Amino acid sequence: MGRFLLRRALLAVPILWGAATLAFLGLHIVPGGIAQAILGQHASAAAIAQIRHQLGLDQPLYVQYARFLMSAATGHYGISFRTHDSVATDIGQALPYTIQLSCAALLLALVLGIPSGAVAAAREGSLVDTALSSGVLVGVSMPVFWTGLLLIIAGAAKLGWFPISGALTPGVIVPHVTGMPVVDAALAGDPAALGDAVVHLALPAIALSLYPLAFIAQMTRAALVEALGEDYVRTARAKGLSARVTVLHHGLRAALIPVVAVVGLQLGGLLSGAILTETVFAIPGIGWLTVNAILFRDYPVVEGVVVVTVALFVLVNLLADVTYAVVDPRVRY
Amino acid sequence: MRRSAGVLGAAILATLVLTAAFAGQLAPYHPLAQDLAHALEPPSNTHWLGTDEFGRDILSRIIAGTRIELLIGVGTVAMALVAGVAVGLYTGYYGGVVGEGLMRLMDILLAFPYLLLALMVIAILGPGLLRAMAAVSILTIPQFARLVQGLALTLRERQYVEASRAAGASGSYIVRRHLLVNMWGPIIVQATLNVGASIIAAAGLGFLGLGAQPPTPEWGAMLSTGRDYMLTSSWVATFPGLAILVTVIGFNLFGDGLRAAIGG
Repeated sequence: MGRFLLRRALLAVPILWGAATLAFLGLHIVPGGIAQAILGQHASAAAIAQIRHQLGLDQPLYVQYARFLMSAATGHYGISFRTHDSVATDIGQALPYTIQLSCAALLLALVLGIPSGAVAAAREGSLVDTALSSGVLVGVSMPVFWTGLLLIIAGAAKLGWFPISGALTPGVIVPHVTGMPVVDAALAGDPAALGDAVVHLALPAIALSLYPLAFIAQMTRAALVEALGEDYVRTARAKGLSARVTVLHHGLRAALIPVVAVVGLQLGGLLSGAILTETVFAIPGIGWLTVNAILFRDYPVVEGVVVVTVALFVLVNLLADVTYAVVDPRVRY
Repeated sequence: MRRSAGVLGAAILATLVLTAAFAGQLAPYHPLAQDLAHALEPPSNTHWLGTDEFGRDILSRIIAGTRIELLIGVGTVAMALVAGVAVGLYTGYYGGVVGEGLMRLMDILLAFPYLLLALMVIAILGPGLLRAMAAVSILTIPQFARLVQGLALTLRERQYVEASRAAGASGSYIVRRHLLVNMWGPIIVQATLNVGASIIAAAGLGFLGLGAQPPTPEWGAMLSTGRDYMLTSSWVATFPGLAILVTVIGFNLFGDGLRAAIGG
């Protein structure tokens, strides 16, 4: 196991380096150059020269690249043009919101997706099964930003049960520990703040969970239908075990292995969906930070976000691979 | 079951294509015609799906948008398909250092969460519909490259390929006449399924204000303006989203039906 882990971790290094290099090269081939992009079409040559000097863009490319790699490795991405804060600080503040949202959505998807897939598989061909298939089709075809808007219209505007946007009601303050409002409110033992954080998280998490929920339900159903046709399940049935025990203990245990693999694949989609969901619900996470950085041509932030997000993505995929190997002893790469 | 769903998908797509082709005749109003006196009117007999903040007819804008969405979906996938198939065939058949390098580049592209990669491309090129299409296209390339490489690796070991090679056929002849013709089925299925995903991705960029720009009646951009009025005039954001949903369902059903028909 140790060697497998080490090999997988080492394989991630060139991917990370490649992604960082791609981000660096990409942002340095901005038509007209970064300085021109920041200052606009009509900027004077002197102003461009000044900003190029300020950002170190007048250095040879290899010097800039070496400096970029050093800063990427040490987590120093420079100063944001927009907020004038260190990029690392901005990312550090935004990331917990995105992690909280993604984890909540994934949890919802697992808690609802696996049982619905299991029920559909146990009653293959029934009305429940057909309903689930239709639900899955709608779930994977719905754009997350539209789902978010519909939830706001229904849950916030019409019913008034949930807040429209943000992560906490203005005025509600939780002590900063992890940066995730729900976790921090729970740690502080403040039930009012916890309730506030949870109702703020509910709609975005539901919106973001829909796609992985559909996918997980579909995968569970397919894997369980296959598992229920196996000889050992037939044996279990033949020796008189109840349908419930057969499905849960014999079928589902084997069927969950491919589901774990699917969860790993869903994480990238979750991060992408989180970018859009945060925009809909005005949550100050990584997505919100990235979109604003692009609109304001805040290149240090764009570079920083790309490196951090890809690193996170690679790490999460590594964890998913390791979990897969733990769950399924047959997997050895 | 899957085949009848595929037929339903084909029917949805046929309706969309006809709508796009006859958009000018079908739309009751000009998609850009403003009528501020009737701004933000709810659905009625005169405006079936209501009007937006400039009094433009939402139904007419959705009809006009069909053409743009189909162009985005098919255009981005076509660009990605050409590049991805070329990379996949090269790496799968020839391999070598160049092939290895290309596949590692694909791995790196796959290491990006897809929307982040699109956002990075937009950061480089700037916002706009064509640039958003280029961005979505780039993030779709690795999927085709992976698929085609896998197929090429299997097909090149077949006896008829070996026979052709032994008979002195050149690499490019084998790739064209033996590999490519035998992999169109899975490629077309993948392409159909990708069109829906591309439409969602491009609409997402439009929604973020980084894709199609106003007043273009692109559905994602329409949703973006609809967001500002969703508490008072929910129809502005509801119908363009519904149009995206139906379109994507159409492509997904059709792709799935195609896969069942081909036996993939």
